[in-house]
Amino acid sequence: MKKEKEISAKNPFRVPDDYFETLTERMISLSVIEGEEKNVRKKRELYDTVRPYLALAAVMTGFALITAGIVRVVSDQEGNLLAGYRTRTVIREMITEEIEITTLENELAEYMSGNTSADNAEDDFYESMVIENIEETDIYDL
Amino acid sequence: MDKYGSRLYWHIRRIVIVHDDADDVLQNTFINIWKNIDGFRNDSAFYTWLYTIATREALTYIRKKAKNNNISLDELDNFFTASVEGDTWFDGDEAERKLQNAILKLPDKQRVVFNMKYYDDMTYEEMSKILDTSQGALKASYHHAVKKIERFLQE
Repeated sequence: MKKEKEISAKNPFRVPDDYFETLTERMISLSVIEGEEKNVRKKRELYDTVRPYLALAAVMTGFALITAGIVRVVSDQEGNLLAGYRTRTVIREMITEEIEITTLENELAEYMSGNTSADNAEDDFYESMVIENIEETDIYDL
Repeated sequence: MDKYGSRLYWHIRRIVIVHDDADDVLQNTFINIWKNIDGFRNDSAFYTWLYTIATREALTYIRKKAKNNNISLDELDNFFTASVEGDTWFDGDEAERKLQNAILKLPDKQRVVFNMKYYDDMTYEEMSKILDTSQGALKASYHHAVKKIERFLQE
């Protein structure tokens, strides 16, 4: 093998002129391009990593918004129902109050005219006691 | 880069033979080095790591090239011999051409072992780390390669 070693002492392969002189420069420019691509890849990897969490956050936010919307609608409906109930109650009280006022006015008018229905009722009661021969002391035995 | 560029180039060139192919493989090698520089562990020498990447890239390249040209791995030596014959960047004499043809008859990995030992004067320990093969297997591989080349040169 010594003979062959002597033969190949001279490298039989050649390279273009200035190949090794410009090699460093070319490889650095390649590295710069690759570095930029690497940064893009890193950003993409980061996005890919975060994406499921972003999707989950978006779903949860959407769910929260929908829930808030539903709660608001239901609350408004209940509020309307309550408001309706309150309105009806107030109207009923107003009507009752109006009736009472009217009754009082009628009674007052009867009293002023000296012919109250209360006095008539009492007179009728005593008259019936006399007719039926009922003593006042018997009333408590009934 | 200056320190390792030419060494890696010649290592690759002896595997892929053609200059343009060697240039492509060297570029791929540096891109891979750049990509994986974060993963480099200080428990091995830097140039060992570079040689490992360069060897893998070169072997992958010639297999891919053979596949693209519909050439089986057994016929690859003829393909390389033809490449040397037509390579404008080969200026060896007849004896050098014959030696190169003999080397090209070797199987890929045996050729790599032969080149690393014969041309780069690497120790078996260094080669073992680069090729991830035991030193005993490398010694046997080199021994077989030398015998084959001698037989070819005597024909």
